[in-house]
Amino acid sequence: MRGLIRNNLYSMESNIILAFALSAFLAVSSLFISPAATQFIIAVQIFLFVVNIGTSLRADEISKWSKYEITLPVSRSTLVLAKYISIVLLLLLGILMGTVTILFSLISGHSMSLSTLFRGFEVGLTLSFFSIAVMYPLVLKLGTEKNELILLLSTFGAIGMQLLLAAVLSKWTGGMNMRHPLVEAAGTVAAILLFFISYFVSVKIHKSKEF
Amino acid sequence: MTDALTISGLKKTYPDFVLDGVSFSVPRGSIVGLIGENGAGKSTTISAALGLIQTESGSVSVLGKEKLDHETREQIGVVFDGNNFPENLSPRKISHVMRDIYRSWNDGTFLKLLEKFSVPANKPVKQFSKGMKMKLAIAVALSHDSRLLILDEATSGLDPVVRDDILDLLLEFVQDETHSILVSSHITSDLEKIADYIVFLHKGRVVFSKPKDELIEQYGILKCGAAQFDALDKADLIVCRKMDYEWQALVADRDKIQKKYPKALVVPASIDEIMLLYVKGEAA
Repeated sequence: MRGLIRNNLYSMESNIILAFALSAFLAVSSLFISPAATQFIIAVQIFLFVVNIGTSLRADEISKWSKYEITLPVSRSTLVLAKYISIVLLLLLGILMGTVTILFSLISGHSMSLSTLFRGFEVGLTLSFFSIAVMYPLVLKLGTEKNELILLLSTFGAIGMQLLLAAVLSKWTGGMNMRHPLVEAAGTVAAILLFFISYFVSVKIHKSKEF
Repeated sequence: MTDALTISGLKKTYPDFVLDGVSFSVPRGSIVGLIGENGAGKSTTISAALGLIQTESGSVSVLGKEKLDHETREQIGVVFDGNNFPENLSPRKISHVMRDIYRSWNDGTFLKLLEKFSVPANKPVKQFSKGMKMKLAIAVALSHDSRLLILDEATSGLDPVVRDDILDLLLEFVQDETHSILVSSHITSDLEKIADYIVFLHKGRVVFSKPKDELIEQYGILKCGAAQFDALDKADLIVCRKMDYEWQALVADRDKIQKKYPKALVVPASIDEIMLLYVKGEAA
């Protein structure tokens, strides 16, 4: 397992460095912008790291590693689990950079409420968990050629899910309100749940996939 | 002698191709060459043996086990044609990855093999030539105490010097009689040099599975004109092919045939020629 995670991180190494550089730039820029925009920056930072998994999947396919790794002494479910753990590690890196952004924002003298602080994380995590939960099994099934398109559609899917939740919860949120804390919390929980379900779906696809 | 790999009745149907009841074995301590034209089913057979594809019927036994469990996979070294590893990784990073995957991974052996092959340890794989990539894959396959090597077209597209290096290494590997190799190739001259047995696949079926020496020392090509060909007992011929100015027929015992037809020209057959006659010839 550790070797597989190490391999995933190695193959994304240059992109992770790039994500760090962009995140650092965004963190610094938070010194000069409003707290509302800082939320957006945190969400983007988290997503920036997670999209790298698409690069990893493509690299695996192009280099035929996805075929070779089946011959290793690990089960197919372990191969998939290693990918999902790598995604969580990327999310943690995004959260780390989001925290740095908050620190920068506080240093600059911006006053922010706790809910404002968490909003960026919530949006970033919802977007990331949902997108990857949809993208990974689809890429496994269809191949990495339409990687970007699948990611884009998955991201729209995340927004669609938030809209749906806002509609369903409108009775308790005083009308259709995507920015209501209940809708956002429900969105994050739903995305995390979907991410877990996605793992089992991916294992099933992988087990029947021929290389 | 027990077998390192036994393949029995493998069947796999694709829309345009059928692997039809493929059976053969790789005895321990031997090199078995899997030959056949492109699309004959060599890679499909290897994929089935490694569990990369699901077959409709048939069984595979590897190192005495019917199931490819982790313990068995630990002892199999695999080399596919072209690249095998993520291109961003250097051999040193690949070693770090493999160290955490194979219990018996040996860093020292791996680094020594890299040095022997002149493969740089710190350059990313994407900067390697095809030959270097193949050498790297072989170095990985040999660095975790493999007892069975499975190589799919490992020498194709390589220059003769690199191919020769790889063939030497394979011969060295089977010096240990518990080690075995299954190697597929359409470069039959390579297999003539190293293989103990030849399995010939054609259109998804095993045409023959024979000791290489029997093919080289006993098989022959009978060459004759049309009139002489008509007079031949067709039961003596395996396959025949009409050329521009003569008939060529493959025979299983060239000495016996030479005695029976003293006026005919019977010459030794290379594996390439045997394969060609099977593929392009017709039943006698």
